[in-house]
Amino acid sequence: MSYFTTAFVLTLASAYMLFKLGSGAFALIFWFKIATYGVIIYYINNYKSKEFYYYQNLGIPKLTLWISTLSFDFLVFITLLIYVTSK
Amino acid sequence: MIHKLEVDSVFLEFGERRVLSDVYLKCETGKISGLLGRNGNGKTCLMNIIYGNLNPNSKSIRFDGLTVPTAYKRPDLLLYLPQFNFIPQILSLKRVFSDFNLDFHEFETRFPEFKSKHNSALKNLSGGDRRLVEVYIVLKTKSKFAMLDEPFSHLSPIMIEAVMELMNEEKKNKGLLITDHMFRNIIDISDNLYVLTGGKTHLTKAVEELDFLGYTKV
Repeated sequence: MSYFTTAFVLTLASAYMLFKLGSGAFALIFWFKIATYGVIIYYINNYKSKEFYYYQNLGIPKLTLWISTLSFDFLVFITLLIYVTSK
Repeated sequence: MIHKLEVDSVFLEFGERRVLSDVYLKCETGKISGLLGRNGNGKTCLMNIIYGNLNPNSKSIRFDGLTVPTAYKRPDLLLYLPQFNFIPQILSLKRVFSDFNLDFHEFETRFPEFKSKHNSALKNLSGGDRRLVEVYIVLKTKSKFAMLDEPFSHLSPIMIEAVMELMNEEKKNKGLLITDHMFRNIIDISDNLYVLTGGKTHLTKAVEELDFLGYTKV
């Protein structure tokens, strides 16, 4: 399963939890999401690290990959949570 | 134009174990530099140091006289084929060739067994075919230098012959640094041959020196 699919499923799960538990659970869901980032980063750095060479050969360093993908995913996460709390 | 990659002053220790201590390597356009060494002698470490992925105690990596400590940020300067499969298996050949701006038609003309596999994902290819694609990508993508760690692994003799032919063509465009345990292929194709032993590189002039350096019995 790709990184994006995993992260997006977790984002949807977070939004569903917020919808069910209410805005009081925002802090809990926020830290849940941060913890899943830790798991994903650990998994990719240990089991998918060989694939970083593909992106390095294209001129994309590891740090750039992490910053861009995590920022995008976090933006989707926050946008979805704001949307759910406004409903 | 001839470009030159020079490596020296490399010093690498893991704890109390000294891995590299007296290295000098030169690689230039039009030539293939071979690097031989027994397992654990630091060939892959040296390549990772040149690429910038491994930080040693000291190093000097120069491209045309200019120091470039993180060559992995400059694919126009240096491409690297690691000893393992590095292309994500989920990607299709179409996507990979597009990412590296390479013409798939030229590839399938040279290797007809890939005809009709344009849309195939890497995971559906055999180990040899995957390696061949990776070697081709690194050799053909525009760059001043390429380092290839075990390019002949998993390849059949016919594929090895084709890859050696491709290397001889591509060395006109870029300097190549290659290492592999199939040392006879490395000896055959190299213009300069270095042997890494005891943390030092030795530029060999005769195959008999490999025996003297303890690499093999010729």
